[in-house]
Amino acid sequence: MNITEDFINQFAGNPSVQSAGKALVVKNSFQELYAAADDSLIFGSCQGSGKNPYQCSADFSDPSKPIFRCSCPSRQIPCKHVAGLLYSKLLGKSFKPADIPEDILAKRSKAKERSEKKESRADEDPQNAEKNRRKAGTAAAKKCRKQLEGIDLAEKILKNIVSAGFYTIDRKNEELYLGQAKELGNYYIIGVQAALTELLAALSAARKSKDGDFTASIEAVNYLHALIKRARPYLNGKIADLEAKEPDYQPVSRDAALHSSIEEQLGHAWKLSELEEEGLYIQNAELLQVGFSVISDEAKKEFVDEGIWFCLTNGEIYLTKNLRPFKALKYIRADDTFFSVLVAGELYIYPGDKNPRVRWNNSMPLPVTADDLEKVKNSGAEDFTTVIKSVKNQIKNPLSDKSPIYALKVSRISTDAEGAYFIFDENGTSIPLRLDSLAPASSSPFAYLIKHLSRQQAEGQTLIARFGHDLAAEILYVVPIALIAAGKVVRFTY
Amino acid sequence: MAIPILNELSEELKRLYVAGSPLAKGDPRLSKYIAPLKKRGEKAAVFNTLSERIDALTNGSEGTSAEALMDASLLLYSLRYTQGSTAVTGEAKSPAYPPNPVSTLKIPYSQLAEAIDILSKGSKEHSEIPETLYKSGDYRDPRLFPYFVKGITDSSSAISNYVEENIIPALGNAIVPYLEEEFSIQGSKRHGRIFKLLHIIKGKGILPLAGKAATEGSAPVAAAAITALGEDAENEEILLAYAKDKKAEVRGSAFTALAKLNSQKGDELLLAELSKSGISHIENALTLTKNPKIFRRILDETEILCSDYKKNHSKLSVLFRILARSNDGEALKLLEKKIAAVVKTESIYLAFSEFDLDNLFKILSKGERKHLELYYRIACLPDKNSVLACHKFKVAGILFSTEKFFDECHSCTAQNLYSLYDIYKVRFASHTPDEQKRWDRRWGKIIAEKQPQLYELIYDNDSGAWKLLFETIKKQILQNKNTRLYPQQSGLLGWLFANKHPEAETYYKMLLKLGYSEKILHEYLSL
Repeated sequence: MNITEDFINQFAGNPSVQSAGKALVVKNSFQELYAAADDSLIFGSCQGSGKNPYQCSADFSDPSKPIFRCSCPSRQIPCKHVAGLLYSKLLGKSFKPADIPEDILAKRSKAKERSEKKESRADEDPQNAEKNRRKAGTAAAKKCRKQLEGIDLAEKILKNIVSAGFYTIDRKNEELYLGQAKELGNYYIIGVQAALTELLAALSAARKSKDGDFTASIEAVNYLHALIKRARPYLNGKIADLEAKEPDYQPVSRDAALHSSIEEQLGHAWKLSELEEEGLYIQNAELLQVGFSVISDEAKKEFVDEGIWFCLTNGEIYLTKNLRPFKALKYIRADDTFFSVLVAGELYIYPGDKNPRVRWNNSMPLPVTADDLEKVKNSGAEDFTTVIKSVKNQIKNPLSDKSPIYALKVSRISTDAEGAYFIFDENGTSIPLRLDSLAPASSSPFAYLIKHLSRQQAEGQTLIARFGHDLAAEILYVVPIALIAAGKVVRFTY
Repeated sequence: MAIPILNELSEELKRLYVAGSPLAKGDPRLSKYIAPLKKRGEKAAVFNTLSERIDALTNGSEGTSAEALMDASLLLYSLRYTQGSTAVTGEAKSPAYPPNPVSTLKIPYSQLAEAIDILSKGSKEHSEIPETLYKSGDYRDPRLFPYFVKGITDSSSAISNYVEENIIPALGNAIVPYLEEEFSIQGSKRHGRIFKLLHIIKGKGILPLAGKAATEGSAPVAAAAITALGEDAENEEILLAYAKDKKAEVRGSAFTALAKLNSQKGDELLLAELSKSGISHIENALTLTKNPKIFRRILDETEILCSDYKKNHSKLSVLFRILARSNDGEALKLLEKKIAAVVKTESIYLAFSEFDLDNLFKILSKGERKHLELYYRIACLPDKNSVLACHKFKVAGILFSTEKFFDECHSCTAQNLYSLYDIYKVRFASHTPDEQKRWDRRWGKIIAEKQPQLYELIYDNDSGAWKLLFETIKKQILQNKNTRLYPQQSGLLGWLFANKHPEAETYYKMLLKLGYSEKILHEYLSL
């Protein structure tokens, strides 16, 4: 067990827990501190506001996955008492040697049993395994059927809105529909519920605005309609897969689940263990952050910390998104720019489009080398025609991400008669560069630096850029995120 | 490649969404698109599908209209997303490339965003951020450049002045494109300041713009431009004409330029201007001129006005500042004599307000040693309150060694001790290790007695001062009738707890005994 400040920062979660934990140590709130002889456990009792002290512990029986426990009523894990326990160790407080308490031994034993049970399922008697699978399948199929009922309800609400017309959605009607949208929460389709709520929000905004532009509302209807249409065959396929009895049955829904965002769009929150089971992870992946921004979403009342990462291991571009609701800013740590190479022990990849979201366990930083930057530079797509085709193929799907990110090998940068900027590949195919504030919300605040690049930077380098589509002007364009040139990264974001 | 029919159809569908899908039945505004879409469908099947969906929409029932509208809209939007053009219209040419590459620095979002926020707000409040950026070298990140330019405001502020005086000149040519982009020839005062900065960086290169701005610019821009015309001797006649302008600001700029050119004719006009009652507009010119005749005249005017200094104190304060900037021994002697006379006879507040002594002292503090010594002598004059003593404290800190500074000033008032932060460039609420402390350790006991909240300045190993500090605090706490800690007490005690000082527990228990509630203490001491 090696407790350092970095370890506590990584596991203690947020600054308020950390500072509360430190304060407990300073105030000498820990009455007793103990450590197991084999260094796998530290525990103690901490005076709280109640009559009896809280019993807290940090269990390192598996050093890569420490388990924190406390008898306090806080839902935060780890709580401030555990944070205080860790700080006590860090600050050199005296821990008396002690035997591991019975209750901890019991919990460890149970955890071991669970893990062995999971492993033994693989070696389990096939008949038993089959019986268990069918039982789980029946429950899941029941859930899918419930979801289908919810889809029908959502469709009914949507059709009512479209039939009545946007102009009829006044405040009273909006509240009525919001109430109906709330109902959808009972059908395991919170993604559909959220989409409907967003539609109502777009309608409300259009109603209140001076120009009454309903473009966003129509996009929201398109999204919801497409989601409903997509969800039905998907869920029906899933039911068929779950209830299939033939031994050589080929599942129909698995491909969609693993190669699109349909599950998340319906409202499923993937667990890391599920991603692991599906093989959606890479071990010891190396990532280089090429862009970072913090976007304020006033509609959802949250900040989104978005990191754009180039994976040196496989050449893909991934995204991290840290959501921080305005009300909970105090409790959630904000992400920040990261300048080193990040080595992720396990990099989990959520199903999605061109730039899926990722998360990782057990990471460590490494300095960036010239080879790393050379790898990014060499990954640039040389043929813009192929990329453009690929982008249009993606964005025409109403359920797909409309702003995919690519690495592009730029042969040169030029301007037209009106001073608008374009990037060209070696074949002379161009893509417009958007450098102004009209680009998408998550664009690059420093895109104007393109105008100040030297000739060496503007020719034969690799640009990481995000695509955007201006429907009104009928232009497909890119917004620069980072330029890899002459062994350096020029950031057009933070 | 744009297909107009898709945009038009899109507008029609938008209309239906707003009005309600049942209105689509039999709508000729929609059905007119069916045939053209079918024609296009001969080459691309998707148009056929779209025409079928429009047909279903216009010929369907009210019950199916919502679904039909959404189906048509979905396909139409998907189609529109495939139509985005990426081609250049007309000829494409290489842009004008700057000679030096762009390089962004490793400044994390948390710091960069904060700096941008401070610079964008145009705040009048003091912020250390511009200075921190400058001293760390981070100011060279081009992502900050537009915000430095934004930071130049119409009215003076600490941030604006710091950016103008330090950061932008240091950036030089790198920031010129951003200054030029922001600059407006008809702009307000800040545009005059921007022009001035462009002049400092570009030197003679500003002349083409200066010519235009002098005639077409707004008053503040024109004034800055006229000064810039002094970069070329051929502009002398133009400047002489400006020197006779009705507006004082224009005349002042012209005289500044003429002084730089060492123009004889300009000097003659300047001498005449000097006899007027108001001369603030020619302060710069009088400071720059090398003409001994004018300098003699300045000295004479000062003598004359000082015989009845209440008559024209604003002119006199200008003359004082000009003398303060000079290196001439006679001028500095005269200045000292006259200031001493003013200070001895007038109330200090009047002296400061009417003769702008704050500004005068600022000028002296940036001068050579002789200027600082003059400043010190003035500040040592007998005073009726602590104002001059504060100045004495500040200049002694710059002028003398740490030991002599303590010897001269240790009997100062408590308030003066705050200046130690400025003198020794210490940040508030920061701890400096003993080996980095540059001030005399004897200040410790003074601080402990008079200004305990400045405990950060006490040497860690000065146990005598710390003992005295704790006694002072204890006395204050015990004398305090209500259970409310003063800020200096809570600051110190909070620091003791944060640093695990052995005294911390003692004080905590004492405060509990005195009746302070735990809740209040937690709040005060940030526990």
